[in-house]
Amino acid sequence: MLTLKIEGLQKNYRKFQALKNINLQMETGLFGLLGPNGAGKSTLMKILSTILPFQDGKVTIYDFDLVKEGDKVRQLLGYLPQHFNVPTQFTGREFLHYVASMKSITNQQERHLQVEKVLEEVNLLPQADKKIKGYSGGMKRRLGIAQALLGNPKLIILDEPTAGLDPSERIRFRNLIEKLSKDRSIILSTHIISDIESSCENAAVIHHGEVLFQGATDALAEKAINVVWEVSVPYSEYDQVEKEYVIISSRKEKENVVFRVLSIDAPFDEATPVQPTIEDGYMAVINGVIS
Amino acid sequence: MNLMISVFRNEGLLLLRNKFLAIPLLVNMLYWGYSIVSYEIQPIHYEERAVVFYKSFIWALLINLLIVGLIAVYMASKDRENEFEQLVLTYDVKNVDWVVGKWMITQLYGLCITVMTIVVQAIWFMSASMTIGDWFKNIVYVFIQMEGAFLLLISIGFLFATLIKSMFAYLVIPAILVLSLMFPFDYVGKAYIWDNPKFHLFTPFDYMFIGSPYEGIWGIHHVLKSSILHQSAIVLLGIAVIVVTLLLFRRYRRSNKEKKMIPIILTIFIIPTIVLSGMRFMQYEQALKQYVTTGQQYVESFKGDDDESYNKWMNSYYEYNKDDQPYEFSMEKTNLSVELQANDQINVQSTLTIQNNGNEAVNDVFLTLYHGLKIKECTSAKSVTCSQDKDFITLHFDQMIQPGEEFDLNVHYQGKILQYRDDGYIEQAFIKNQRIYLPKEAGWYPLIGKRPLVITREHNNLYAQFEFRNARLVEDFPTEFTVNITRENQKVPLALTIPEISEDTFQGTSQYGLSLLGGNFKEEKVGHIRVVAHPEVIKGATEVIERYQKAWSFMEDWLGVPMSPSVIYILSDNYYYLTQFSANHDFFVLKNEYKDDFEIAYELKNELTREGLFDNNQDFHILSDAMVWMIANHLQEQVSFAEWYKSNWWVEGEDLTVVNLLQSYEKKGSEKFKDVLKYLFHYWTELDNKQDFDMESALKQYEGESRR
Repeated sequence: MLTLKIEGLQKNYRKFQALKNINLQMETGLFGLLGPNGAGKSTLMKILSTILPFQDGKVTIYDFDLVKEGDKVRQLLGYLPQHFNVPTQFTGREFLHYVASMKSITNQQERHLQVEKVLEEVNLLPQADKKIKGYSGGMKRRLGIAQALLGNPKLIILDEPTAGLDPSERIRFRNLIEKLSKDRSIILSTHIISDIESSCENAAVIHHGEVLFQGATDALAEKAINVVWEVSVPYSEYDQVEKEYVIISSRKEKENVVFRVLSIDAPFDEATPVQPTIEDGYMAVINGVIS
Repeated sequence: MNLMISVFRNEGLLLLRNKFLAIPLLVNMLYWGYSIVSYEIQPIHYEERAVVFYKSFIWALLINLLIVGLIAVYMASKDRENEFEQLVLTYDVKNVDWVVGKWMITQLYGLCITVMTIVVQAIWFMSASMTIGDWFKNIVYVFIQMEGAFLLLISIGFLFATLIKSMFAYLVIPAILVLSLMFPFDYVGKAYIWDNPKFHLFTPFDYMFIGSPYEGIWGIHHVLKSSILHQSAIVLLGIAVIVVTLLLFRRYRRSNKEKKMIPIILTIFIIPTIVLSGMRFMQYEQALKQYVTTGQQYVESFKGDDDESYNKWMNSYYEYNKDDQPYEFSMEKTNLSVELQANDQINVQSTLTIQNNGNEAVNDVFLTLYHGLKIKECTSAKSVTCSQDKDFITLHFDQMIQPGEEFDLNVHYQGKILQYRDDGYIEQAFIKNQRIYLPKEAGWYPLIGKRPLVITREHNNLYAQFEFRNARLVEDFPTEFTVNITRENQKVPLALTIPEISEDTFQGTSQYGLSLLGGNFKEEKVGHIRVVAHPEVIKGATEVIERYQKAWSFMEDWLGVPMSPSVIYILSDNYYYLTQFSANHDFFVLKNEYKDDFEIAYELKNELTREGLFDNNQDFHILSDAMVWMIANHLQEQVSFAEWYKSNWWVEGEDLTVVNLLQSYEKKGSEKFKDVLKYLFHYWTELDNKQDFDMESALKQYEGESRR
């Protein structure tokens, strides 16, 4: 069964076209949505979360039409926005109770059970009675996950969930997402490749409001076969290489610089093709090296 | 509904934890504490508690409206600005639950301020002199004024916070308050051409009053009914506005039920809002129409063509001696049998004894009676026909009325006495269950002669196109009155400008006339003067009147003119201004306020020198000042006249010859100074042209007569 189906979706902000004829499908599991800042990811996430209306196209989530049956879609939904801002005068527990009631968990006992469960799941029980204004960034993100989990949503949308977290918090967060994805569908929107590299089976790349790739994450890497090269050049040629090729990375070796670049043809005679990664595939797609 | 309650409860929790929101409540407490303490510590009160309360209330209400309105915008926009609302939009909660939940908690915040004000009022008014019923009505009045205004302002705050997604939404609240309250705020009952008093209805609370909604002995009654009507419309409008907000809030997110129900609910509230607003509008329209019709009946236009004569013509409007043209006939006796009916109706059977004091026999005799009262019967022992044209009655006798002849006339008349002044804002004459006022100026009983009841002058800069004031109705002769009053539902005590000899029967002689009062008053005697005032101010009034009495007695002894009245009414400012021109030595109206010795002295001197007040004769003004000094000096010893004059009135370069002349008499002793001033006053009084007054020549004449 398809979790999500998007057909010909268009979204305009006055004259600016934020999303252009988006077609996407998603099944159960963890789905990555990659794209640089300003690509239209958050707009798409907000549309899927019923926050924003759109001009054209059709979106169905678990066979419910997003426009006509928005209230039913919301009952299936858990959403963590890119900027998770909540009233900080609440304690974590109070906030979750408030959210639970807004998610129509009106039975007090049921609400209590669910709140305690999600607090435990995100490891926030010890801080549950502290005011949110005293939480660290990571704790707030976990609280964000907790509120998204309330009401046992079938589909969880996470918009840039690891942005601004330190490396250890990010790792903990990734593990949590992976754990949650076992019995739920999760859309993870990010511009950080490593967030989806390890956990997502399927992904899409969006750039300038268009979907440039959709498929398995391995397939994204495979797209870059024969276009990723490694070449060692003297330092004096640094500017020329930077000007002519898309550089993925560079490192210094004695008097030379070793570049990892994207190119259809071998950039230099001595360049050697290398095995592409998801990051290479992503860079190749968004830079138009491959179509 | 559960979700709405949850939003309400949780937003309430947030509100409770917001320390800044406690500040307005604290400020209100301090403000009321100051207002009450500063009143209660005064040993003598010149104003009622309710007057002081309502004066403070208006300011408190204006500030609270601004605060609550801004809080409404904050409540509606805070979660959008901090992006929590984006998260909420993904929840199951309906638009109605989310918006109305927050709206309700904001209303609760407003209600806290209202309740606090009402608690203060209720406790304070317990010590006021009013019945339990009046106490309760005052609370109702404050409640509806505050809550109606808060309800509407909060709804408007939510509407504009939805429409304007920026900080500019906050500007809407002060803008609305300024636009709607600017004109009523500075309004004194005379709208200029660029104003329209009907627009004063477009306010979040009923502002259709001048000065204070509390009116002395008539309490809150004269505004309560119209305020309830006004605020009922405001409450419905407030609900309609929040429904419109729901219509506009995240339209795409509305559930099918919301899509169907919101327009229906909007219609349900809009229709009665229009009906009630229309009723309120018609109520005022009727009052304004009555005022304009009365004014147009008397309006005079400028006939000249140059600026100088125009200015002279306009200034003559302010002259005090308007009704001093003597009439040959006098009203010797007036017997009235008055039935006060519901809805401002009166039915009067009168017997009038009229005498011809002139030297000629005439067929026609004139009376004045308010045009709203219609003559049902008019008979006399002599053959007479009565015709009524506007406010004037012409009695035509077949046989001439000879000089010195006296005749009796029976006139039966009835009609509606309700009259308005000040662009329809003030009821000038009324008969209600809780309040009655039939001033002489309303023409509710037949006055001798053809007397304009009002003076109106064409004025292009005013909305009504004329300036309007009550005429000065001064009688040439005293009249013996007997008045018997019967009433339908009016239970309030009555007072008349003549004494009550038995219940609701009044008898006495007065050169002023009849002014009937019914309301919450107390009557006391200060010497031989009857004082009618609100029970709370009678003590303060007595203190002031005792000083007046000292001055009156002094002036009577000194100048030999009658000064001391037989009755004093203490009315609120609006009614004081409407009545003051007709008051004479028999009847005095006093403002509810403390007066110092010089204020008393100036007021009493002005009573005697009305004709010269607008003259430019410097000698006369120095005489006036000397008379003021003399009266004040009697009340409390002052520095010498010359010293006093120099420190108060002297301007550099002014010739002090006349002052020095008077000083020379002052040096001769108090009695001599009194005598010379008395002479000068009578000299001035007898002058045909007051501008001819010359102090030096008057003093020469005085010296000449003294030597003889």
